[in-house]
Amino acid sequence: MNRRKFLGGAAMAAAALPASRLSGTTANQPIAVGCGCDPFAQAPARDASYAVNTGSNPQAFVGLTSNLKITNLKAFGVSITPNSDRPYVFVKIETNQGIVGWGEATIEGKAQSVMSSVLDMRDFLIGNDPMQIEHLWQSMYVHSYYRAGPMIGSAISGIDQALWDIRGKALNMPVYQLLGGPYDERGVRGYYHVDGIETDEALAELKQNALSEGISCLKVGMPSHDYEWLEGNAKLTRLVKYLERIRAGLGDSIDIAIDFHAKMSPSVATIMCKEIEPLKLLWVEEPCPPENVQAMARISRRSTTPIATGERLVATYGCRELIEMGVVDILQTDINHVGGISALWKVAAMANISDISMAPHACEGPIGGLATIHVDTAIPNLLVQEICSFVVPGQKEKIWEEWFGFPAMRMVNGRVPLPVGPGLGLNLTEEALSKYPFGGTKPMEFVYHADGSVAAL
Amino acid sequence: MAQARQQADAAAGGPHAIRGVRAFQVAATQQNSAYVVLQIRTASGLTGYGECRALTPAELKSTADAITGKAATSYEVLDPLVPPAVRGALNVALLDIMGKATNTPVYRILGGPTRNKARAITRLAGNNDAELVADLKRQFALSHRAFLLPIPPPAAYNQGSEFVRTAVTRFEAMRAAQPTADIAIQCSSELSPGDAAALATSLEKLHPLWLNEPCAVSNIATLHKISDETVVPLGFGRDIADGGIYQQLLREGVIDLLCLDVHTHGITGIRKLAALAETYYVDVALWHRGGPFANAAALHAAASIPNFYIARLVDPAANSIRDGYFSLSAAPGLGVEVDERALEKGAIA
Repeated sequence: MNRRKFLGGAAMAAAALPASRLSGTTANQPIAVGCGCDPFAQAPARDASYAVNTGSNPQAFVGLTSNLKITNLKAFGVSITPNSDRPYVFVKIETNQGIVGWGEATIEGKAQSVMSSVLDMRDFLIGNDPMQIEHLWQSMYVHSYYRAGPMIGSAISGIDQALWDIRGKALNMPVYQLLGGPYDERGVRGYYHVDGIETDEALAELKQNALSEGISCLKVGMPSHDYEWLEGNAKLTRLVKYLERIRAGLGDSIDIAIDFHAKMSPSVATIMCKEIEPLKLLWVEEPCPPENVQAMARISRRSTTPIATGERLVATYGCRELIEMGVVDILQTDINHVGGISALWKVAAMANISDISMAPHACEGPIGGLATIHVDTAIPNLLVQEICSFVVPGQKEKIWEEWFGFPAMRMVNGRVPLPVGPGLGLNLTEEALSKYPFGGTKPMEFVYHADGSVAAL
Repeated sequence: MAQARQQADAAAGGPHAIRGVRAFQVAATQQNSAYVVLQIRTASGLTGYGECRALTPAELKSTADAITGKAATSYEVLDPLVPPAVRGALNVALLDIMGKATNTPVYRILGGPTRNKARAITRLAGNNDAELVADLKRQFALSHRAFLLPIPPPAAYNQGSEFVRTAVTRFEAMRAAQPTADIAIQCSSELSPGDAAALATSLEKLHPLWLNEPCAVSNIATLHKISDETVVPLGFGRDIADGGIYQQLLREGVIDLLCLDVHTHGITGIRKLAALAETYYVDVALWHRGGPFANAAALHAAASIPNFYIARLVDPAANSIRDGYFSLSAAPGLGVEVDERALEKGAIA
């Protein structure tokens, strides 16, 4: 299934199915999941010696901690459509003072794994001071031993966001204020994705809608999924003409980014980057797969088109080489994978030293969406925030509004308004989520070349 | 509507709008260089303090003009609006206010404490080995456990034999006098890279903590002379304000310890550079030449970052040291008691 279509289009209609058909359970009740774990139940009580053996040692900070103690941690799988490849994974942390914090650990196609990963940290976290976020972050990362992977990174991300939510509530400040912001009280510049622009009329309508809402940036996908590693004249020409048409249709006052989805080889991607230079795009995203920094560097050094990457990277460590080599113009780390608010802030600080801009990726749920807005308005090098939706909102936004009382990630006059209130600025109940019980993990889409071999996603 | 109210509040600077910006010159003593205390007052009645090395009346005025009426909580946003000389001080003063506004120590605003005490280092004083040994014993009795040992430069570059022999003798004298003391080598940026490499290789097996500021950081390629020829850890940073230089030093693998001046970087600048250093498995040392506000800022920074190593504070006798470590304050803000009348006589108009 086309990912962009899925997010805003047909699959959303499925959400209108009666709740009774979706499941016989609620988010509060244990359900059977493939991993054998129970995402909603409490982990077994630990015995006294276990706390010592884990090295979780709040006693080391007697006299220096707050009166807050973590008393419980829960992970929720939330499927707003039955076939979603990204059921939201929300993390709730409870404290002895009644303050609770929410975070998001959603990772596409791996919901059960990440819920387990979150719960693996539960014994360690209980009893600790939730205010010591940097300390707890380090322990979760370093003591996980296997580091910088997306699963541990996403689990830490959800927990880190929930801890920041608690900290903001405890200190009665929005998170962006704790970070020294906001840079702009009006909100954060964002961009939507585009879909359904096959006709010139549709493109003209998109331009009119976008401009009337003050939107200054949009991102497009590839004209089709079937681009090969070494691609030939027909599809390369098609890609250039496609972008020329979009630039002509949207005009110069809307910035345009394109996601190459890592489909082409570094050199073929560079051919495209060079040929679209006259279009002055805002960036080309993931022109090749993200693991090989030298390959990405070959692309960026041979074309003036700005290069963006980073949504799959974890922690500052994952970004170090890209930054030190000055490979990319824009980093797109995701607050739900990179390690939460703490890590996104650090990546932005590191990037800023090398004059690299931030355009944080955000294609999951609304809690991570709110969290990223807090960071965005507290960093000097924000370029634009991704909003994984369309100029015309879909069903997803209605559900988010149902949960929070506001639509979380919608722009007003071209900006996402800053969240209001202490912490992350959301009030969420388990009851509100129970309407959308966990429907199990679904894989991301499978994409193959014409000969049946595996194509990049 | 809450959103509109929030925006209106912010436009007016919010409850903690900056209402007063003053600065006070503090004279040099035997312990510290001259420095300037920055004082920020808010509409909410809170007062925050920071320190910088120097501040002209013109810089003070441009600072006041830039930030008066703005939210004191916007420490990140206000930073680029003021002259570079005052940025570190402003950051510390605003975080002091953040802490007082929330009744919590600064490190807790920043996700700490990441440790429950902060390792201390002190500089040894003396004109010869005997005086240095006496000072080592005196300061060890005051609970210091780590020491910066000054090594005078050779009379001319690259004439190393006498210089190296004298340094090794000096180091061995300290080790013999106090075998459990840890010793770093203080070079004050006065060596050539070749001299520094010769010195470091000769000291390598005596295990100094690190070689501090062996030479000026100019052409970074020449620093490879030291880092390639010796495995003694290298510390740089006393004259480096620009984050890009640290990025180069780290990328080139010629630095093992970022020696960050609290006056220059403030707490937030330290946190940013520490985040960068973390990815190179490099630690951070903190130091300054000023007074109690910079001392406190150093300890709050130390308790906010994971990769703090050691701090050299001014007049450490005034701070509580136990077995080589400073204790951390649990008081709101920086936790420094201020004698406002004593400051007043140095007021900068």
